[in-house]
Amino acid sequence: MKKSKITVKRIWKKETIAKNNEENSVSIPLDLIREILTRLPAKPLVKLISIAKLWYSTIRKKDFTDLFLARSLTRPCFLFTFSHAAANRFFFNSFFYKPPSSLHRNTTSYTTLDQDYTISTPVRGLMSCQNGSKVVIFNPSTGQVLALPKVKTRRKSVLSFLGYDPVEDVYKVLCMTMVQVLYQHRPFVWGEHQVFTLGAETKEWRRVDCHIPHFPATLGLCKDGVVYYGAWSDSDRNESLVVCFDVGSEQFRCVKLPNDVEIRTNHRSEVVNYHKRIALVEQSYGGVVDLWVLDDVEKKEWSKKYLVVPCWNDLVGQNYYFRCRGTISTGEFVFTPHSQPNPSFIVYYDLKKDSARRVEPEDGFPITNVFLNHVENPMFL
Amino acid sequence: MSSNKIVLTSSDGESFEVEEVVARKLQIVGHMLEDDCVINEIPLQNVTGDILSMVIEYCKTHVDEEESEEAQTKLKTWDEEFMKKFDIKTLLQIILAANYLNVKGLLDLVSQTIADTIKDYTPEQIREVFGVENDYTEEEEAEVRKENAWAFDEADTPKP
Repeated sequence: MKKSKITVKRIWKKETIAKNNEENSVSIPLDLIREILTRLPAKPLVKLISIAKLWYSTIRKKDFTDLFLARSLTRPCFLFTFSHAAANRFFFNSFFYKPPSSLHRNTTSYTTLDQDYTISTPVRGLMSCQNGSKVVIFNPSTGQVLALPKVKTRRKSVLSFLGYDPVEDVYKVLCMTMVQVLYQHRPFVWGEHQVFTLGAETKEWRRVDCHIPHFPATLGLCKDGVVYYGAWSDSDRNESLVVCFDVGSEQFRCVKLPNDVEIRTNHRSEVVNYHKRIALVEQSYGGVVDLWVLDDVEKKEWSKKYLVVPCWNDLVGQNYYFRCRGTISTGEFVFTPHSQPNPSFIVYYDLKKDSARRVEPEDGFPITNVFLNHVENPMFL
Repeated sequence: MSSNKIVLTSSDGESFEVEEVVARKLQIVGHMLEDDCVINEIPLQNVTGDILSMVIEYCKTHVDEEESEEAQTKLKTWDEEFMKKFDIKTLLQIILAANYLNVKGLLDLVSQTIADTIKDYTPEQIREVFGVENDYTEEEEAEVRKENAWAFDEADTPKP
């Protein structure tokens, strides 16, 4: 049927009923206000608690946050970090994947965090960050920082991983304490594994057992209730493995990497998302990447993928190091800068078309870090 | 497909004669037609003629939603241009109408447009637009702001 056949005849009635007084503002029912508010970016949303008491309670309610998150999860985005030395702070903003010409930021204002913190990969929009033995939960979408109770340890250095258990709908922080021994600068992790449940009544760290001696070497990535991170079996790096921490049961498992694969430091090995699967990236820079995909956790099976981005030097130049960060929902691989001074662009690579392009965020700042598959979360901590 | 005509009448007595396929995009009408298929005139009490004509324009454009990426992109561009025509007050009238007439696509579109419009509004503007009275005392509001200072903390865009 052709559209031209669709006709609308508008018939004016002579005695029209007097129109409503348009000066009055319309009264919008609460369910429609919620519809609108769940479509705001998180930062302008949280400010609206000052509008009225009903708005305060509406925005802070869990069912509202859940509705907002459900919407966010359907449109994952980048979380960009810029650092500002003079302010000694990190600046955060989310940017949408689909670039018309440049990547659009989500809000005009940035959230910030003290640059002394080590930041980690966000889990459903939240990050656990540490500074010495201090651990905080940071919401980069809203700027809220929640300091966790002091970790029970005499040791000075703490490492933390954030996880989310979809069954119980809780966030937990796993931490372990680390002693730096000045032996070839290798970190020795001595266990003392502890877990903190966000929002639980007892606000304290609980000891959990870990029977797999290991030394974490990469950032964590949480997927379907399991936190994955690369590690060595001992301080001599005899064996490289991926540790799987089940957030619900608080049990550790490990999957050994193939014999010739070694986890390396300084982000040269990284656990990433590869088309909704877990993969370990071995960066060799210059647009060449080895990717080990974890096909089956039970059977401990890995398969290898090898990427060569065409015309890398023309696209990026020889002065910059870029890391492959896995895939995003468009199916493309994303490479982000890892060098000083940092450029202000990232690289998209479409494996099917074998084509790559440079993409710039609209502000044009030197990029400090980029996280993929970030979701805006308006949760009050 | 049937090219039955249905007459929709607004609260202020305006009538619109539309194809049944268009009228069915209004789920409220769709349900009425299912209940009794012989009606051909439907009074719509909670929507004025001006707003109803906009809803009908949306439904007319979205009557056959093609799957192809090209058609989707074209429709998206049309949606954007269509929404640009309205000020915030009209958008609020449209969201009420889309909700009452039960037009899911328009409800999503107009909700997003309102969100995009109000995201940089001041609290005063928001209260005015939504007709909300500030029921905090001065002390209470100060307390809310103090306890959630991070929510009101706006970092200036860092200079590169």
